[in-house]
Amino acid sequence: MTQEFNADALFTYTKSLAERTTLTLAVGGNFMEQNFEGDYVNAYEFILPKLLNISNTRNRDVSYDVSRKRILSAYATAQIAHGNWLFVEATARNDWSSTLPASNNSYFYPSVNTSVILSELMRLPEGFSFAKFRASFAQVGGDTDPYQLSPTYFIDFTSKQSRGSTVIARGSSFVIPLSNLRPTRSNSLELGIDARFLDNRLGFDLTWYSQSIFDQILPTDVSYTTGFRQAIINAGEMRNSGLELTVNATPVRGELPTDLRWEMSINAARNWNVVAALSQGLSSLLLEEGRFRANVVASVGAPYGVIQGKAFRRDQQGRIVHNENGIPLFTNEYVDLGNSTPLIVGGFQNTLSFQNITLSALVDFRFGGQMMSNSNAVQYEVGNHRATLRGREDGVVSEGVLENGQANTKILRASQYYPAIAQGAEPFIYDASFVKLREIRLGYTIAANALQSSFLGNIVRSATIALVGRNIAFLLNNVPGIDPQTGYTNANGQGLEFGGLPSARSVGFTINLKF
Amino acid sequence: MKNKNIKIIHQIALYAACSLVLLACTENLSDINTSPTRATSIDPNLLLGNCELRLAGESLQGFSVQYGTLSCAVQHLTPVFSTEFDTYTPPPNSVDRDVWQFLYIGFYNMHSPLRIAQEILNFTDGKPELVNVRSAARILRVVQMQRITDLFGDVPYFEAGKGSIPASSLTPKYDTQEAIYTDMLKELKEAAAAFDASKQAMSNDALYQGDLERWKRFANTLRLRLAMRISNAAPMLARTNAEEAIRGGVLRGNADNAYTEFVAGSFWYRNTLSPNVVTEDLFTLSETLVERMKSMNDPRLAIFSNTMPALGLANGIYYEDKKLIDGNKKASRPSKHFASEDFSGVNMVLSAAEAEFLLAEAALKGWTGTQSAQTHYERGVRAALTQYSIYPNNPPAITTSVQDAYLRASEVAFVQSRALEQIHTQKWLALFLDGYEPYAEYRRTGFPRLKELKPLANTTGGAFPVRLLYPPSEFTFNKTNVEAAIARAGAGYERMTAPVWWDK
Repeated sequence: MTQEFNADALFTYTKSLAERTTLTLAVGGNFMEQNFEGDYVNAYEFILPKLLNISNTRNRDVSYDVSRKRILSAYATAQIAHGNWLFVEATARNDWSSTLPASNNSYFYPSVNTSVILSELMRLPEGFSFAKFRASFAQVGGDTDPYQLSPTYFIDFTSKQSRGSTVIARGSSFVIPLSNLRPTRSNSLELGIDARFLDNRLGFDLTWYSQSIFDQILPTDVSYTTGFRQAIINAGEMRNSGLELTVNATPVRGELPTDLRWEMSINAARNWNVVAALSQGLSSLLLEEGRFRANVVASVGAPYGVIQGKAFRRDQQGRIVHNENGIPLFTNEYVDLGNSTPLIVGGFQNTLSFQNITLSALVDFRFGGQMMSNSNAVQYEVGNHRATLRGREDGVVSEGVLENGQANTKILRASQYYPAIAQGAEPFIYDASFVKLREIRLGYTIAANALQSSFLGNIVRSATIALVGRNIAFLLNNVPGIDPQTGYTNANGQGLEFGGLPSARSVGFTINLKF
Repeated sequence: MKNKNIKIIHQIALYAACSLVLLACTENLSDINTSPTRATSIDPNLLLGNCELRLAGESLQGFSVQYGTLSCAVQHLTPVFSTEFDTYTPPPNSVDRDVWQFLYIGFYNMHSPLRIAQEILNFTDGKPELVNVRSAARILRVVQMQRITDLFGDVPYFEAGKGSIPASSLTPKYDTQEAIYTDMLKELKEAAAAFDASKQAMSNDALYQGDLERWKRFANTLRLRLAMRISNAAPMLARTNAEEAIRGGVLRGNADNAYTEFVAGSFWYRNTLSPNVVTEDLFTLSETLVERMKSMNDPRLAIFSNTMPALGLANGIYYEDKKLIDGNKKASRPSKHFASEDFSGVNMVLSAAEAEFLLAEAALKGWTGTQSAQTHYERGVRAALTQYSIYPNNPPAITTSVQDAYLRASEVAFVQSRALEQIHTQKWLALFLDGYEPYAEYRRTGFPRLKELKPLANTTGGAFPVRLLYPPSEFTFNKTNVEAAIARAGAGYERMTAPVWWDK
């Protein structure tokens, strides 16, 4: 059972300071409490088959857990609007969270947000139809989940025994708690400009942002020799910055519905992520743990999203080293093999309208960045990858040297060579760039006057029928048999893939009625 | 006027309401963050049973470590499908097959005895009345750490398993195996001496039900085991410790055996071999084991094998070749006494048979305190032949007359000139499926004679692997320390052919 309770008090005050200037103040408080309560029964071995009742089982493990969290907040905001060109908003907030130690549980965070509509403030040069500049600075504080400060213990089971042992207790988690946890703080700065020209036929929106996160609270993987899998840490400093650009254009602007109209929009984004510092002697964070062959990590000072895995063992001249049977060898440790962060991602949309017909197409793209494909590795391992056809008849001689430096001339059967190749990650690192025809849509809008004359005329105001196809084709894809957009997760650990379902192609009709 | 009063009353009510909410709010945020369902401290006796039961690991760990890696390496078992260690290739480091991870942290909710023993030590620190459970935890920590260092050589020891101590290192340093063994011997000596019957008795003790005299003999036997292991690398240290341990008294018969019972019907504490044999059919008996036992007419074959006559499968054959061998289907599997269908069973931690074989080898070395090597050898064989009465499904008892006949048989009858090989062949049989000890003792002594394998896809140049490799996770999360350890140990330490310190 999960439950959240919120109580708010808010006082607002509005005043005209001068002609065309308005001030709005607000002061408030918030009380938030989250409660979770769970009862669990795991049962094994049915007594009567197919009788689905928990009491029809021989062995049952019962457990009960509760979690509770409370945040108290006080906040204030002030807004000033001057004319119709200047808007300024400032906020201040203090939170007290139950999840942090008493000495660190209070945190204050302010923000300022401004926008100036230049086209209202001054007369802009010929051709400008609108221009707006915006800037914001925000600090944010954050807490964590309950019970992360000290180790806790469970009683595991009492119903069974092994010799003299009747009660079994154990620690409740694989995560090392942190008793002097501090709140997470972040500073972010964002600047943006939105400009339109030629009577709004051309426009762009450009945003630059930069964020520093200090003391981020996160469970991070640590050396297993601690006895634990992860530790809760305040993770030093992480920086994240980026550029986002959208350009809109209307090359042909005929009057609808009779004439031709062509609208296009292109957007592109680039993000830089870096771990600037880590705490407690750690040097890297595991972003994504591949169950097999590779991991994605962020190391201090290095670019985000480094793919690590077993590489071919090479001699000083870079030649692959083989064992005495001619089998290529891999390193024992994981080494850097690539980076999953793309150079640029974006989309490109075109819409053509003529009379009642609308045709649009959306292309998504991504350039740069790599991925490690476990699906390809497994296909190599079991021999159903197209590339493993080579050598089925006459065998394969893997190119490289033996450990003594002589050239490898041993002939391996395909069924020996390809499974050996599949032990490492290096052969399965691919360029994850793609260009994808994401969507094509052809629509027909039934004219209003045509509707009016039908029996639906009184009910339906407009009707559109469209043929829509999604995920139509790859215009560029470098990963054999795999949609590079499928990964383990959509979180920050992109770059690994295993048996991911490709985005399904769909073709269908939609009917859109407005009443 | 009236309106104004009402306004004031409204305001007072509002302020009162707000202050009540605020008062409610300041009520102890720390109390809210104290779980009502989990304990922040616990009677360490309640952790003791868990620590002892977890010495067996769990079934996936059994597959990856004890059975799939080590018992195949010493040719007790042959894997039906996997090829890895059986073909001199490192066991994989995937999330659910990582030996290092299983031994240091356990698996899922099934924690490593290293961590649990450390938690007992944390809760008993500075509490003299709890000295008995504390001493037990010191000994159990050594049991697990010895397994780890024997497999990997130089490893984190002093700082290992201590994550739950506030401000402990998240990047434990690597210690030399010499320093580890020296400290483990010291720990066993001190812990055995610290047991005190006048202090609080242990409860939840699955090994000895709180019997302190047996705990002391357990500690002494372990100390003798450790001393013997380093007898080539540090002969003086070994001898001093062995003679002290022998004087203190070691396990005296099967009644002293340290073992836990698997719990049938419990997912967490079930037999670790059963799922791998009964459910998954992953292992057969090794041809080496079966042929050796047949040649000695060993009465235990009927206890080890599910079929009679028994048939073993050869180790070291590549997976796809093995598929072609009809013998795979016909080969014998571990019996219902080891892999019971109801997942009950016994995890033998330390046996009187092993104690006798250690004494026999000590006698060969001329260390004081023992009887003749032959006496201990024969006692060890008899103890081993009769240790299975506690195993499930009523293993056939081996009568005294059968024991006598066995001890007279040509390969078994004690011959002074072949004593070391005989002791270790019998120890290898007595420790059937133990994994850890047979693999370590084979490396130390070269006995028993195993079949030489020439596997195709090996990474050792065809040599028997004598060490497991540090896992990739250490190169990510503990890079500085693991690289320092390799640099200190010298070139080649990142190979499976680099012997550990005691392996001289």
